[in-house]
Amino acid sequence: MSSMKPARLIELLDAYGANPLRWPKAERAAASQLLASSAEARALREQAALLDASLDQFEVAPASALLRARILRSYPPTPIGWRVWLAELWQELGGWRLVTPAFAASLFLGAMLPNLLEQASTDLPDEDLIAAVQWVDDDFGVQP
Amino acid sequence: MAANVHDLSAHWMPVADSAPDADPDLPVLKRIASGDSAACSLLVDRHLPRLHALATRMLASAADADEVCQDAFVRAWRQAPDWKPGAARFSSWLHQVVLNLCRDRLRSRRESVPLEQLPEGAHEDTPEQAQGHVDRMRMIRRALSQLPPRQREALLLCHFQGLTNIEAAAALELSVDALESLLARARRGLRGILQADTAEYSGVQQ
Repeated sequence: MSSMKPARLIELLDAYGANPLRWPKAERAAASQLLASSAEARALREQAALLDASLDQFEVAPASALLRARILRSYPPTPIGWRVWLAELWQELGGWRLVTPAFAASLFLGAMLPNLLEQASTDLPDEDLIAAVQWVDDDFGVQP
Repeated sequence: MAANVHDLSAHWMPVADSAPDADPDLPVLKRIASGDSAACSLLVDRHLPRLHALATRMLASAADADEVCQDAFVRAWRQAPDWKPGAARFSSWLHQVVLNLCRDRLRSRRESVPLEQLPEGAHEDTPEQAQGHVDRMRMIRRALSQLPPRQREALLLCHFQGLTNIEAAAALELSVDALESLLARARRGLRGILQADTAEYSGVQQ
């Protein structure tokens, strides 16, 4: 009897399709056991296989020998200029994916900062502060 | 000649589930870092076919896929001396680079349905069979183009690229659970779109 529950096999078929080579390696044996013992599971696998077969028809032309040669000619890479360096740094940091969160963060800060500053300034104990400054002023330079 | 994706043993190379210390690219990267150009050929032959297929499926343009791959390998040459084995394999990193370059191109093109423009793959059937094949391929391409980008990427990585769930999750910067959820939604969505298209297609044929 398989250690895998039918619900997990359904999840595997839903996510990875019918080919066991695409299933997580650690779960292949248990899933195969369950398939062997359950006609219902095999029917589900057939359905997944139909979609796999449709996907497999999406063929593309392979890379050309010319491209291979061009790529090999690009080694060793030329030292990068500052523009390329900046572009690659931008890419490494997330590229355009950063724009939305950065914009949202700047909007948030722009909206919240004046409020926070105002709050901070109104939180100051104005009268106490003035009294303290006056006390320092009054005592400054007075000999005991 | 089109890549025959039906023959999994020839074109689909599953790799072990994780274990970065077993990354087969590590010795090659060390050789590349020390200036061994023969090692470059090895790395290109190992990864170019799959990376090019990914870029072509993403961009629907062989010329753009060529440029993306060339750019990705230049980055690989630069990365080689600094590459440190960590959580991800080098092949996952390469896939991530290609995905990012493709996303940037798609964004700059502002194309919503790029897969529609892909030239047909070559085949050696009779004219009738060939036409049927082209129709089915067009249908698949259109259905894929209608999926949300992240779902499409997950499907391309796991179904066509032969990445393990751990590698695909690393390339997409997701947890394995999140990847499985994306994949399941992608396949469900695709099945629905294809069923609707097939019904429509059958209606047109009658």
